[in-house]
Amino acid sequence: MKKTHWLRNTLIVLIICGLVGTLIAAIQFSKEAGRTSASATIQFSFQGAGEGKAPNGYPFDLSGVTSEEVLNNALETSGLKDKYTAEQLRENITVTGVYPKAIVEQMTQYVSLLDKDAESQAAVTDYHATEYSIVLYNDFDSSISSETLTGLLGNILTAYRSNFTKTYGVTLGNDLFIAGISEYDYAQQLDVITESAEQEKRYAQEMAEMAPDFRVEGKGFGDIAARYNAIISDIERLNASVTINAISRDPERLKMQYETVIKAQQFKLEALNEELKRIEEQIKSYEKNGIVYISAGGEITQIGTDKTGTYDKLVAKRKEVTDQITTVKAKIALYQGRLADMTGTAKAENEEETTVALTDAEKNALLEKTEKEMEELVAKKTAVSNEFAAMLDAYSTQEINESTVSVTALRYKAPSVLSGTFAVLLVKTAGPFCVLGFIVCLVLLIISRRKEEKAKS
Amino acid sequence: MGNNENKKDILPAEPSKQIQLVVNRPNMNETTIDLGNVLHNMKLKRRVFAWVLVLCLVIGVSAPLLLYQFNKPMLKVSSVVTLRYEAPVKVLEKKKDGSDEKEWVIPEDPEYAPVSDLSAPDGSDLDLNQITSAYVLQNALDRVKLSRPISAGTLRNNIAIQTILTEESQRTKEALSGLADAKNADAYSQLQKAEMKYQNRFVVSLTNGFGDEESRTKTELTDAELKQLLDMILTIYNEYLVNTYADTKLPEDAFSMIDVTAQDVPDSVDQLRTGVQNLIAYCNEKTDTVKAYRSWQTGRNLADWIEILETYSNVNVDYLDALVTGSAITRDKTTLLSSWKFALRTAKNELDKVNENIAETQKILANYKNDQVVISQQESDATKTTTAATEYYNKLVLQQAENYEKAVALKATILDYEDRIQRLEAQQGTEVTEAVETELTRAVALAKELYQGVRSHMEELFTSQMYTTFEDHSAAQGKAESFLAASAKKMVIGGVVGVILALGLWFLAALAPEFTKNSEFRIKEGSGIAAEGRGS
Repeated sequence: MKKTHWLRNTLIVLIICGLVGTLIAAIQFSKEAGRTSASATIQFSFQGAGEGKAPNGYPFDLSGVTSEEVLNNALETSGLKDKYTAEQLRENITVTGVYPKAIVEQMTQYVSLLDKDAESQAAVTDYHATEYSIVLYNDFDSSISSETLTGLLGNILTAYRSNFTKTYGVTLGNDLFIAGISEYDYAQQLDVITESAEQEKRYAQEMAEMAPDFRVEGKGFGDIAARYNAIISDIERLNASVTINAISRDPERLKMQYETVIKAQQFKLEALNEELKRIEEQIKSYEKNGIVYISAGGEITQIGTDKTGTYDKLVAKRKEVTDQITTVKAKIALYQGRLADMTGTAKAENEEETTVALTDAEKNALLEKTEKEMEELVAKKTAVSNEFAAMLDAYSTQEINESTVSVTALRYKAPSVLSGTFAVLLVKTAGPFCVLGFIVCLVLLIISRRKEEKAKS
Repeated sequence: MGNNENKKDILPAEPSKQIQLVVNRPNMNETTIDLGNVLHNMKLKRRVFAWVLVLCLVIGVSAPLLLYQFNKPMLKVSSVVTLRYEAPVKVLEKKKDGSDEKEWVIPEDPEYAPVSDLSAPDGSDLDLNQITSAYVLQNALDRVKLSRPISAGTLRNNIAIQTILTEESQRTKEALSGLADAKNADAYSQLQKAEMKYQNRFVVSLTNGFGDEESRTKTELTDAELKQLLDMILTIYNEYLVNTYADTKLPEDAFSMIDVTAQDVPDSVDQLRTGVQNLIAYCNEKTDTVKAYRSWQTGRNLADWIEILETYSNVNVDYLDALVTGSAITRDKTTLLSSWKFALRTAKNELDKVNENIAETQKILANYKNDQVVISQQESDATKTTTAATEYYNKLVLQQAENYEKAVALKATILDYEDRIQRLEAQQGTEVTEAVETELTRAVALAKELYQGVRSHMEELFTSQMYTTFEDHSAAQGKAESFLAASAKKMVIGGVVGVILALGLWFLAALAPEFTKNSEFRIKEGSGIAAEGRGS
């Protein structure tokens, strides 16, 4: 065989093998990677994201992306509500956390060796992805355009961001009692405002602990808590005036309420005292196990202990009852004090105070003043609540916005023979054919050369 | 190259240039092979053997790649699962069978703490086999779209679960294993009895290649699908844990049943009070972690709701009750009186029963003899005695405490009814006015709003990640090496082996003619000697 012939023939064989391989690879590629898709990356960069915590301090994940609310919103925004269902989209969405290479390596090492090294454990179990890759595959409509599919994924992520802002943001709800507060008597109104102010103060304190550096126009959550404290002081002052001067819209009814509560609490106290007495008797008569320690062969054996903790349970029960008695007694004392103020008994008992009864005119003036002060108090509390709500909104906006929850790399993907996936498949499929063809060519060449050699010799 | 040149090439070299290769042959004195000739032969055969070299190199390099294609290692992806819930704290106690062995048990009134081992949320052993249960696997397969269908049965075979011993248990196991290896008889029994504790995390792995063990062809998923499938299996397992162990009972609505216009006012107020108290009790039952959850809808937590309900009870129920009781407001005084009297009688009967129980239990306790334990010492006659309370005795003591509690509650109810009846009898009944009805309606409406608020809060909580994360798993990891990287070492070895083989063949092919020449020479030589002999 001449050199040129051999080269030509080898080239032909290689081309044929390559073509066969390419054809098989193309068939396989079209079968396996036939799905078009839209993909995007969502990144969280707010404080706590690396610990898997949302801005409100609770754990979060991306399961919300496939929630009914998000998908339906996205379909509606895209104008595809009548065409596709949320269920169809859900089946075709995949969300994958992006892990740094070092973490993946540590995890693989941890899994293969079950490495008990503390650092390895921490990396594996405490790492939370802050970047997620989201892919929407198109298995539901072969005629959908690339723009529509990409737009749909974009809308899903926009809807998710709104959902995230809502779900993981911080907010202040409506005051349940404030709307009908004027219907109550003054004492009740003060109770209601106190409860509401205390509640919101606790929330502000929690927020101050969580975000001590957060400021809106120089004010932080700590300042809001301080303002609630000031309101509580005002409430206490007004409460003193209302109680001591027995200011009420219906004094008889209020008096009756105090009496009823006192009586009910006294019944409770009586019963609790009896229970306490009986429990104490039980504790006294309880036969505790005797404990003996035996030392033998260098080992100390303990014989007899109350494994079930019955004695301790009785003692705990006693403490519980005592605590209840204290609470009931405090309530009785509170209402008795209020009642005494109403009936004037307290004033009479206090020698330093004058016991001059108020005239009707004075009473009316005091009522008017109280009414005004109450209105001012409600307005003040509402103003602080509004400021607090605005500050919470500002905090949510600072923590959850386009830069802290960002969507990038939104793109359309269609199976392409120019893609890396196809190149790998091509090498894997056509490669063996080409190698085989080349080997055959070489064998034929060697045989022909051998024959030539023989003929020459 | 011409034929003449070839002939020149095969002429023997001069004696000074010859390297003699001596081969020991039994029948001949010695055989010499000229290495120069061999090298010369190699040079002559280079046109063939250069290609043989290339062929062997190609086969050597490509064989590992082809083998990889047919017999490639399956990808295994793994995920580390960490349990995140509160479980009852167990205590170490002696076994009830009387033996000296100890076991971990859940006390009657356990404390709850974040789980530190493989205990279920109810304190029992966590059944990890549920990960491979039909429920979990089928649900996972239903929710993931795979390029090739696989069944739950075949999927199960490819899942492996690895639990992790605590460091202490690991050390114990290693120490006992060492002793057992040294044929220590006690070590075997200790190893069997040793209580091993596991960490609150485990590893779940899924290997690609699905099918029967005997089948030659296995269904293969893409790497991404495999990871997605393992993620989904663990997500469904988490759902299973939540469905099985999470207390998702919502509060009962006692307020919707209140009919302001048909029911008597005191009854409605009573119903309001009971409803609020039940709602407070429901909220109080929850753990501190649950109570601290702040809603994104209202900004409130359960502790806030408890305070709101208490405020409602004070400013609405108590205030309304004062008006109703103070003015003896009723639609029908006689019916109300008889209804309260009936309730009083029932409470008294109940109290009698409880008191009887108390007396009976007291009698038993007074006469009950606990176990007496006598301890004697081997080296002396001295003995010591002690008592040990039996389980039954302890049960009786606690039962008595419960009886007291019941009696106290009944007594308070009786006193309350007696007071009410006394007041109502002393007063003339007042008709229900429109103002009272309006106030009651407002109170009921607010109660309904509060109930709805608590319910929504709990619904939000039950769907929040804080409540629904019983297991937290890392993303499934595992990477298959590229086929080139995986076979690189084998390719190098194959190439070298191919080259060595080709060189060997080349050398042998060059050596072979020298042997032929030698034997021809010997034949010629032999025939020359024979001719000489015949001539002489």
